[in-house]
Order: sequence, then structure tokens, then C-alpha cells
Amino acid sequence: MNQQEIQLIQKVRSGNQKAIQALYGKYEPHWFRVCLRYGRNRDEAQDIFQEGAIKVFQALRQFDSNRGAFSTWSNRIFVNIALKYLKKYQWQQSFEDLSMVAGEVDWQESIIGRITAKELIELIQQLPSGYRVVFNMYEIEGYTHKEIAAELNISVGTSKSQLFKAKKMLQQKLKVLF
Amino acid sequence: MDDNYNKLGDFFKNKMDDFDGSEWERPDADIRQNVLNKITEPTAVGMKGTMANAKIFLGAMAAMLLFSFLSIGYLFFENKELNQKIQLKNLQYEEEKLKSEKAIASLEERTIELKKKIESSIQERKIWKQEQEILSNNKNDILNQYQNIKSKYKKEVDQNEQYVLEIKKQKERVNILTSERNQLTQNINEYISLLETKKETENIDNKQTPSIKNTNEQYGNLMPLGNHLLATNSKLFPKRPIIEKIKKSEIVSPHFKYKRNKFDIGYEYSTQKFEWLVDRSFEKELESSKNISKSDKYIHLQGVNLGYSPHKNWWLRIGIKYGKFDVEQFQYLSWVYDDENEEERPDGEIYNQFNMGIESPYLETSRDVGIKISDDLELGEEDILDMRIYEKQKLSLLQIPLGVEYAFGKNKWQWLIQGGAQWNRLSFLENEFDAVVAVRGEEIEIWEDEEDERLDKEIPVFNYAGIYAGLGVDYELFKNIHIRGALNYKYDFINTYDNKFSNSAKIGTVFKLGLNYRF
Repeated sequence: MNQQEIQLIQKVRSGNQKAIQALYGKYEPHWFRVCLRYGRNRDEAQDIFQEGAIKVFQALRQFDSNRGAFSTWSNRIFVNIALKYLKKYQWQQSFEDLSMVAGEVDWQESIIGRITAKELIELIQQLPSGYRVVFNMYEIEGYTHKEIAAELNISVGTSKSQLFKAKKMLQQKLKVLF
Repeated sequence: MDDNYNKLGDFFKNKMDDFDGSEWERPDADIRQNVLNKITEPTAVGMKGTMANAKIFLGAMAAMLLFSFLSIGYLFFENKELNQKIQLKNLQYEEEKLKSEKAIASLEERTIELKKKIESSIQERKIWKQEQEILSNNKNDILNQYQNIKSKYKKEVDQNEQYVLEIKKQKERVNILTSERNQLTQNINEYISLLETKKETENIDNKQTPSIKNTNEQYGNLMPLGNHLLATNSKLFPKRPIIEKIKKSEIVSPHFKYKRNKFDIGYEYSTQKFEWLVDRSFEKELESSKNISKSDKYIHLQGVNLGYSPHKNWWLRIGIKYGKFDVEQFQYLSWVYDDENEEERPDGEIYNQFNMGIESPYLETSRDVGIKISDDLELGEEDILDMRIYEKQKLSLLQIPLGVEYAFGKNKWQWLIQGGAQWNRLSFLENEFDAVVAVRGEEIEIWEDEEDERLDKEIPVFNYAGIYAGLGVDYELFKNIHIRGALNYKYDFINTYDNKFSNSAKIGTVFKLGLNYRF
């Protein structure tokens, strides 16, 4: 974390409007991508985003630059908001097993190069909530299964199986898509 | 399979950072604006806590102001009622205060009364204790006396019992001796009868027998034996010693005395009237002036006396008393001046000398007195001289009384009847004389003899006897301490200068007061 970003955060804390806008502008895409991954669609992502962004600025005084990067700290706030949102609206069917057809994906460079990030996110958004969350947390954010289990109040085995099934589903979708 | 899945994860992770910056990657404009609006509000970013506190503070201030206004208003409108309540409360408080003060005053009075009562009780208790102690002491004294009397009585009873035992023994011995005497008497009688029988027989047979004489002689020889027996009898019955009777009143009385006191010694004071009659002789005195004057004097004697009681109620007393006293008299006389006796003294001064004599019941003195005739004092036969004379006689009286006294009365008080004789020694110690002469109201210088001339004796001392009798009273003040008083009537056998004034000096009353210790 560079010195400029620390000074920017300090200005934001002192109520500097320009600094607020600057910090927001810098991290807005990053935060919205997280929201897109956890929501089922863009509307859900925007709901999570609004709540998460306001929360980040409200809790800015709690941020300690010595304990980690601002992006990591703010990411975790968005993940928590997303989990809270999902628990509130989609959690009942989160970890149900779905019958899926196993298939193999050709991971050749020619195929990967043609897929865009938007398409991948849309694939993720199509996953059931449980699969999606575990996949995001494990593969993208880098949580361990133990952390995921503790966070979602599920067992480690469930986290692992959800992740496996999420990947399997994504693989099938990719196969259908390409 | 797993490997594929791992590759899938890495693929997604890598692709997530691959964005192209299109609108799709950003929230909608209204969302963005909405978020910006919210995070740029003063109460939003990081400032939320501070601003919230400020709001709370402002709200509290407003609430306090509102409350203050309401309170002031309430107080303003309620002020009158409050004042009335306060006044009412004050009145109630004053009434309560007065009641309390009255109650306190009453309590204080009550407390003072109680204190007085307590002090009185304490005092009474002290007196009661003292009385108890005195009673206890008296009781102990009485008990001790009772024990002493009891032991004495017991001792005497024991002695009596021993004496009775001794008498019994003596009686037994007497019985034995009596029986022996009776036996002996019987033998003697038998012997006498035998002798008489024999005498008669001899008279019959021999008509005359000289043996009767012998018989009488023999009978006479037996008499000492009888007398001896009688004497023995009297020795065997000695007189029983008399046990001193102890009266019941003496046992219970704390003043009981085991032994009658037979002696006493004490101090005695007496006072009596002493009359001093003076007859002056002055050859030139006018007839109208008085020439006999009388001077009364109470004289005081002090001394000791000793008493001895040879018999119950009777006392013999002897004592010695002594006292000094003065008798003084003033005389005024006047005479017509006579120039016949004018003479010139060796110093050239002219004096008119005259002689003056003073006679008392005990002595007569004569002295020459002269008046100085100065040049400016022209005296003639028409002048009357006035003279004032002052004379003081210092005397002493030694008295030795010897008398008898009878005391009656069983209590502490005893009445006394006294009588006896006394020897007196009256001595003339010193004579002072002073005279002032005046003519026509002016004093004249006088001259007189340095030594007066006593005409009767060289040493004027009178020894004379007297008798007295009277009544008195004796009171036992403490144990063995007696105070005594008496009023006596006395008659002195005094020989005066010529017994001219003897009646007035011989008879008089004497008051006596004494303090004696009896043992």
C-alpha cells in the first residue's frame, strides 16, 4: 500500500469531499466485480454494491493500514455484505445437490482466449447460490474450506463438495457454451 | 478430473482481472450517484460518529433549554402558591418551634426538680449511712462492753463454782470431824457418867472421897479439846466473798463504769465583787464637797483544784487560786485659796503646799501636794481652787479553799452542795496618784511628793480566813471530763485598817466555773 493511498484515506476520514470521490472512483469497478460474482444478476449486484460501498466509508475509521491493504479490507466488507444479502434472500436452496452431467472441457488456449470476463461472470451468476458463494470464496477470494465453513456455518465437507459441484457445473456450462 | 477442476479455478481467477472498462463493469449511473450522495454526506464517511455526537449534544442542549424555559415558567406561575405554602409552612414551623421550646422548658424544669430530688436523696442517704455507721459503732461498743461484763461475770461464776466445790469438800471433812467429835463427846459423856457413877459409889462406900476434885480437874482438862473442835468448825466455814452486784442498767448502758472514780483534778475560775471605799481628808476642803467615795470592782481568780471521794457521793476538795486586779477612783474637791502656806522653793519658785490624806479599808496614805504660784497668777482669798484626783491601786489575791461537797444524781447531770473554808492573802502591789488643780478655769502647775507615806504598815499585806457555802451543778461533757459551775456565798474574817468599812468587804457572792478530769 503506497503512501499516497494512505494520505488519501486520511483525507477521506477528515471529510474531504474530493478525496471521497477519488477513493470511490478508484475502487468502484473492483468492488462492483465482486458484487457481480456474488449476485445472481446485475440488480442483485447493484443492491450489494450500494450497501457495501456505504458500509466501507462508514467503517473507514476502523481500517488499519499496518494490518493489510485497503483493497483486501474493503473486499472482505463486500463479501460479508453479499453473504448477508444472500442469506437473507436465497439461502434456503443454497446447498441443495443438483444432478449434473459430468463432462470434460478442452482447455486449449484457443478456446480460453475467446471467453470474456463478462461471460465468465454470467456463468458464475447462473450457479446456485451455495455453489457460487463457495466457488467465489475459495477460488477467487482465496478462503480456505475451514474459513468458509465457519463463515457460512456449514461443515468443511459441505464446503468441499459444494466447490466440487460448482466447478463441475461450470465445466458443463463451458462445454455447452463452447 | 480433479486436475481439470483445478485448472477451472485458476482460469476463472485469472479471467476475473481481465476487464475492459466497459459500462457493464460499473454500476448504473443512478446507483453510482446515489452511492456518491450517501458517502459524501457530512454524516457519512468516517464522520458519522463525530457528527452523531454533535447532534446528540445539540439535541441535549435544546432539551435542556426547553426544560429550563418550562421550569422557569412553571416556577413563575407556581411562585405565589409556593410562597403561600412556604408561609404556611413557616407558621406551622413557628408553632411547632414554640411547642418544642415549651416542652423543652418543661423538661428542663422537670430535670432541675429531679436533680434536686436526687441530690436530696443522696444527702439523705449520706446522713442515713452516717447514722448507720454511728449505730454500728455504738452497737460494737455495747457488744464489747457486754462481752467484757459477760466474761467477768463468767469468771466470777467459775470462781463461785470452785468455791462451792471447795465448800462441799470442806463439808465432807466437817461431817467426818463432826462424827468424830460426836463420838468423842459420847465417849466423854460416857466417861463422865462413869466417873459420876464411880463418885456416887465411893460416896456410898467411903462417905468422903477427894476424887471428885480430881474428876472435875479431869473434866476441865477436856474443855480445850471442845474449844479446839469449835475453832476447827469456824475455820472450815470461812465467810463467803461477796460478789459485786451488776445492775442491769449498767450492762446495757454505754457509760457503764466498772469502778467508781475517786479522784479528780481540774481548772477553776471564779469571780467575785470587791468593794473599795475611800475616805479622803483634806483640811481646807469646803463642806459641800463629798469626802467618801465607793468603787466596785469584779475581780477574777484562776487556779487548780483537787478532789477526793472517800465515800459514794461525797467529795473533799482543796485548791489554790490567784489573781491580780486594779481598783481606781476619781475624786473632785474644791477649797478657798489660803496664802498662809506659801513658801519659796530653793529654785526660787513660790509654791502653796497642802497635805492630803486618803483612807481605804486596808490602808491610809498621806501626801503633800503644792501648786506653783507664778508671777502672773494673782491669787487671793476670794479664789476657789478646784482639784481632780485620780488614784489607782494595784492588788493581788491568793486564795486556798478547803471544802466538802455532796453530789447527787445518777445521770450525766449532778447537783452539788458545797461548803468549806478558805485562806486569803491580799497584797498591795503599787499605787498611782495624779492630781490636776485649776483656778478660774485655768490649770495650775502642781508639785507633789515622790513617795507617798503609808501610815499603817511597812508592807501592806492582809491574811484572813473565810467560809463559803453554795450550790452547783456538774455535767459529764465527755468520758471522765466534767464541767462544773457553782454559786457560793462567802463571809471573810478580815481585819482591816480599823474595821471602819468591814461590812462591805466581808460579805459577797462568788461564781465559780471549772473543768475537771476524773480518774
